[in-house]
Amino acid sequence: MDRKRILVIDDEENFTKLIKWNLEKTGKYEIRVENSGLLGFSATKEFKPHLILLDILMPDMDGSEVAFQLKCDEDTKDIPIVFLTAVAKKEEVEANSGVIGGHPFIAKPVELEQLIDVIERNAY
Amino acid sequence: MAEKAKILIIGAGKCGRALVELFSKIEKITIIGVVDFNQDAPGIKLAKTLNIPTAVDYREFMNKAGLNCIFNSTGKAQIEEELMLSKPAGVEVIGGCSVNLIQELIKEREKVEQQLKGLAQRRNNVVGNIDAGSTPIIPKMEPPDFNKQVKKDEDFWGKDKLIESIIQNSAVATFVINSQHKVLYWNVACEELTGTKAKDLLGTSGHWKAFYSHQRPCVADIVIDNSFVDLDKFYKVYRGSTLIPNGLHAEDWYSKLGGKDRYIVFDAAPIYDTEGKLIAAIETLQDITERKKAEDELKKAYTRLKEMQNQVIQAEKLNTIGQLASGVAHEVRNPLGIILQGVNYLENKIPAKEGDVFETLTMLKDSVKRADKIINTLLDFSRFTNLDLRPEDINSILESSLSLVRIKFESSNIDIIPEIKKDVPKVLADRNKLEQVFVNIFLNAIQAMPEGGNITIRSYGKKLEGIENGTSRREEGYFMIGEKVVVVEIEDTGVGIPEENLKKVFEPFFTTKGLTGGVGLGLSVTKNIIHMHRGIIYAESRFGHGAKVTVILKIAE
Repeated sequence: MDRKRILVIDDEENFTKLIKWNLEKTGKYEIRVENSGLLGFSATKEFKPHLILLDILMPDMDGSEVAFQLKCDEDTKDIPIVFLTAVAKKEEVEANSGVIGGHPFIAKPVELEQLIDVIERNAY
Repeated sequence: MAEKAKILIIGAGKCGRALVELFSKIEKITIIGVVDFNQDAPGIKLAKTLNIPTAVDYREFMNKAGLNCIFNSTGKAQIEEELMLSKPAGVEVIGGCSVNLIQELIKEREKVEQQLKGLAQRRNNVVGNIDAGSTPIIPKMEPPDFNKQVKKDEDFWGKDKLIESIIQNSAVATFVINSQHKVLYWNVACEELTGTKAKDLLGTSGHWKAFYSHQRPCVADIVIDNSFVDLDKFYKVYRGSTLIPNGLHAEDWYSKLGGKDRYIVFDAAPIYDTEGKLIAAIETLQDITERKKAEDELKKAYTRLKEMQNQVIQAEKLNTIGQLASGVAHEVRNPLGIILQGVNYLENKIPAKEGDVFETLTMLKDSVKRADKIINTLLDFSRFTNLDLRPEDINSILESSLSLVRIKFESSNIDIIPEIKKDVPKVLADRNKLEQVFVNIFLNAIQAMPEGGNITIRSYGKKLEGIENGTSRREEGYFMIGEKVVVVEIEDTGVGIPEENLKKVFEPFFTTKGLTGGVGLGLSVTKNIIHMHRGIIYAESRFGHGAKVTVILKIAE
């Protein structure tokens, strides 16, 4: 079976490096990492991910802007996006069944197990 | 033996010198210092010969232990004002006309002493003459011969016209009663102040009529009877004189005294004859209504200012926390995310879920969670998330909150006493948020009862009948009198909360638990949640006798 392609867009390099190691170790995913919103946006078309893990607060182009641009593009509008946030609380995210404003959310810090669970529920 | 009264004399001119001379002779008084910027002033010179410390600045003596009283003989009102503001609590300041009066008395005493000397001289001459067989000359004024003390009080006083005119002409309202409580003097100032004429009182015991509608003792009567019990029945403020042994100071409001509402300060002192027998008491009255009103206004303004300042501080704190929280959350949670992913990575690298390495990783994970929890509490301030309000049964919310901490209650040896009314009206509430409120209160109660105890949980509906304790937000229109509310009371038998902390327990970052306890946000979050529900929360306690937290909520209609 093909591994699911996951694009991780987050400006924290150490975080993305570990996410990549941890998710790839499961053998189920192919991970591409981009450390800026702009690069993440351009990588999407080429990589054609099954799901994007998208940080919100980033310096050059923030997560919501990336998401908006992707939704406007016919090629990328159906790619599921899971937002990563350090500002929302776990309880808030969970109380809303992991969805804020129509998008799934994960509050940092996140455990691998929970991350896999969210990916499995949302990737197409 | 009673301690000596310690006094400070400011101003060492003629008047100050007279005070130094007078008080240095009185055994029960110690002059701790004499102050004048002119170090050649007569009072300073006298003080130096008597080995009394001197200075140019009164502040050198202001905080000397045991200072009872300051005499301002400078005659300068400005110094008096400075003294009133800078004096330590409990120290009396005597100045203005009181000092003038004392100076007058000193002068008069000197005159009397001179006269006595003269009379004694004349009598010696007379005795000499009698011995010589000639006719004795009878002096016009009977000398107050202290060696042959006159028996009757009236005689002792009545003969001394000098003293009478001092009292009569004093600007201070003054009256004197004898040991049988009969009025001997009622001066002009006293007539003015009280509106009661001397002729109606002299020789009677009716001086109380000038102040009261029913018979009761005045301070002079209390001094005569030397019975200083139950004074709080009579006066709003009272204390023994710091200057005169067995003297009494009292203050109170009087309505329609001499046609006006007045705040009067009374000072009474006993008068003894040379054998130490109590023969009379002198009482002075000062109308300090204007000063008192100004003071009260100042106090009120100060309290209002303090309250406003507190509110501003609180708002500032919350605002700052709000701004900080988002920033901190972002800056701290990202590294936490890395740590947690790193731990997950290492977990996959070790062969078994046991051993030192696994244990270390578990500790790391727990620490990450703990740090994350603090961020969560902080975030509670930064966002006023919309409440999910529904009509809820408060008892069921209490029940589920209790189930979350029941194990802690059991392990802490705490018995739960439910006093739950069955037909409590429903409240409009966010169930999850209210659970957080009660869990917080329960956890605080558990911490207050390290040795175990009881926790009583009450819930009932009632109609608000008036302003109640702690309902300080009422003025903001949270509740109206007559409104139906639901009340929850949680009462423990723990160590209680000291009074000074009662108001602070709901403030952010207030904690008594030290570094190991918490950051002091639990109860302030609790208060915020209740306020978001437009409700009221307050704590009552007597230190050492447990605490009670009351929550009042609007009913769902």
